[in-house]
Amino acid sequence: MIAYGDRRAEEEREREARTLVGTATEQLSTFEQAAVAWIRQNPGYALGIAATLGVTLGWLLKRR
Amino acid sequence: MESVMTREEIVRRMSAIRTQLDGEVGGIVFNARRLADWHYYVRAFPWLSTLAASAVGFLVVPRKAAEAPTIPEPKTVVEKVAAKFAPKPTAPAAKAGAAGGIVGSLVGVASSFALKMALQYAGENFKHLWAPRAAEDASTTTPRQTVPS
Repeated sequence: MIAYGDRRAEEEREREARTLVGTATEQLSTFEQAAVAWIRQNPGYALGIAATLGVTLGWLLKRR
Repeated sequence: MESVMTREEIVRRMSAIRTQLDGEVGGIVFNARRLADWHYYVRAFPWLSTLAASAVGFLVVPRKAAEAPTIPEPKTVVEKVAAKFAPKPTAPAAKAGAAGGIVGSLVGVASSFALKMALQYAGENFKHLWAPRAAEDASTTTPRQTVPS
């Protein structure tokens, strides 16, 4: 049997966890929006950086 | 109902069609130009474009070449001899070395033969040169025979 204080503390922890998850999701969404906006503004740079990352990954996985 | 159009009405409708056609052609040209520009696709699909660029970069890197198989060291005498006379894998250098070896052995045989002939010729000449002097020395150095009294 769960006491009233314990249940209240559990609800409080759940609320805090939801707040944390919501904050993280918001931050992630904000980052994604900023990244997409930057890619749309600088498509050449974005493709160049992506290709460089791909070449680096390929070199590390295939040539070493 | 009268379906026959008057001359003015036909001219008016043709003018309207021409105006509408100009706008449609302009829109088609604008859309074609937009679709031919790669910036449009990056702006429309940013994550897909970056992933495609990464995949292209990954695929551009060639795979590492496989190492040549190493031939184990021969153990028996027959294997050693066979390995010594076996053709080498590096074609130009090995061929040049083999040609140099054959030419070198031929030159060695020829030089030894020439040296042998020269020594033989020198020996004969030396014998002819020293033969009279040796006879003369022999005549002068022979002891006199003493007559016993």
